[in-house]
Amino acid sequence: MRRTRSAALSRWTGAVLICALLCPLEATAEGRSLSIANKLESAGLIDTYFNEVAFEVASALAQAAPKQWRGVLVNRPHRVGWLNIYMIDARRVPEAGMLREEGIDNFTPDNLRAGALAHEDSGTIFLNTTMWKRLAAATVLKQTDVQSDLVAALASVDVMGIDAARKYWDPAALSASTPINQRVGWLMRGALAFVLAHEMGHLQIGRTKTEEPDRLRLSRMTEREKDEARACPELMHSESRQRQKNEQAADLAGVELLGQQCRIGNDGKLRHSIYMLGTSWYFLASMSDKLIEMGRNTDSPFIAQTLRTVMGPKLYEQVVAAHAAEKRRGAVAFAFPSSHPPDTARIQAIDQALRATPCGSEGVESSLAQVQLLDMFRQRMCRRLTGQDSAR
Amino acid sequence: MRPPNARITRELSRCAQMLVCALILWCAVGSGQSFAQSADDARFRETYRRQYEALKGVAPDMVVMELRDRIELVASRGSQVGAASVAPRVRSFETALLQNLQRSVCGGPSTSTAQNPSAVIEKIHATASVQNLNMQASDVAELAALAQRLLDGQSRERWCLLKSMDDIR
Repeated sequence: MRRTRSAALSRWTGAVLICALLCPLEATAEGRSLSIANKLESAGLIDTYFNEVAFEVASALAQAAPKQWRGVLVNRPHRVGWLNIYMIDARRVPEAGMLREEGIDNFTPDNLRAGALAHEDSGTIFLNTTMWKRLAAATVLKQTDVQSDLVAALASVDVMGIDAARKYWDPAALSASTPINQRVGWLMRGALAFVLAHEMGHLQIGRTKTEEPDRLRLSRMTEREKDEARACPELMHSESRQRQKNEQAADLAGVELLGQQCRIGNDGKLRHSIYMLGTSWYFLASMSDKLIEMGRNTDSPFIAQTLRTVMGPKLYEQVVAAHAAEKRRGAVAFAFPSSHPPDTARIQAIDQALRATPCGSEGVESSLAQVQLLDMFRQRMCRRLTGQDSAR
Repeated sequence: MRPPNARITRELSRCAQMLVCALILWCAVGSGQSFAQSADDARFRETYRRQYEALKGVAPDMVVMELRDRIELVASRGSQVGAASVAPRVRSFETALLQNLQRSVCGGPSTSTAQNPSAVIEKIHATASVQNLNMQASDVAELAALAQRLLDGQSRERWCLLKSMDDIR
């Protein structure tokens, strides 16, 4: 009897010691989770812009991966195992970022600028509502023929400023039942579907690392060649190549979610068509923004002339010329960012991957012939650059 | 029948054994951490050395290009849906770094940062902190090697006259 009691006492002591060692870790994870929503809320960062649409689209996508998430939460207290989405006004996020104490050290305005950011470890997606309002306003300007091109429409919104352009992105105005609002709704919903699918893809694949060889170093390059080198993977930092592969993997994981939508629910086929249309719209907007940046950073008369024609001289002066970079380092770097594969290559890979899914890729505009031609030019340029060096 | 204080002694000794076990475990974790620390230091030194060696014979303006690439990588880190330009942040960091290094090189006697990696590393840390760039140890090691190569490639007089890194040739 005594032995049993003392053995039980020992077991209890052991259990208490183990708990004392392990419980703080559990409590920390739970505490971190809880404080994400609290911090965002108290800093006034949460922006309820079409929350219900984000919930609906994310829920439809999550149905294509039923074992991945317990459910979808939009602007709700963070829960481990759920898909947590926060709609953030990125203009209010401090430059230095926040949420570092919660283990999220990449939550900065810069990292939100492209429209969305995923944090794999906490299963969180942040959507930047400023970017969505800007795109919604530009889409209205294009659909109402105020501007004939998306580049010009985005430039117009930038000149107006997001707050002054409110009448174009206001939820109340966009909720009125009109044919134009319906088209705007399709494009925006579809673009959001691609963005969410990509970020959900990141959450699914986690942080993967590939082994990449060190960059090829050229001993000398002209200023023009330095810009051109941005298009050549072998001349890029190995981490850039790693990141590009990770982004491509996220695109393809997102395709798995998008490519099954036609089979989910009664309206699956219509939803799939809308998502395909919106995917193209997202990339068109992304390329439009890059064109504007290219114009600001190059002396190329051809690019200047093209933008002047597309935007009109007044908008060109306001958006491109007035914001021209002090030191124009060239346009290639903007078409070939170091963090992501170029948009043309992304949309082509997405198109091809979608073809292998149950729903196909009909509606995605990747203009394969043009993309292939562009890639041929790129390869020739890179061969010239790397070949030239051995002759130096 | 054993006296009650013998039972208490036995229980106490068991508790003491458990505590010793816990202490051993704690110490093992602690020594593991210090082992990890020294492994991190070794990795840092190796990254610095490899980068410094790889830049041997590379023209100074190409080193500046690599420095910008590295800053861009740090500034754009995160799983984002698309690429947004971080050019202003890169520009701002390189300007601040140049000023910090100039203050160190040009402010006092000629010994300060020339072939003094720890001083350069400190400047990288200081600049990153002011510029709100969240750097990993490998970022600091590579940037320090790049900055050291730039310093090695310029005379003190020339370095102190630089207005921007664009002037490095």
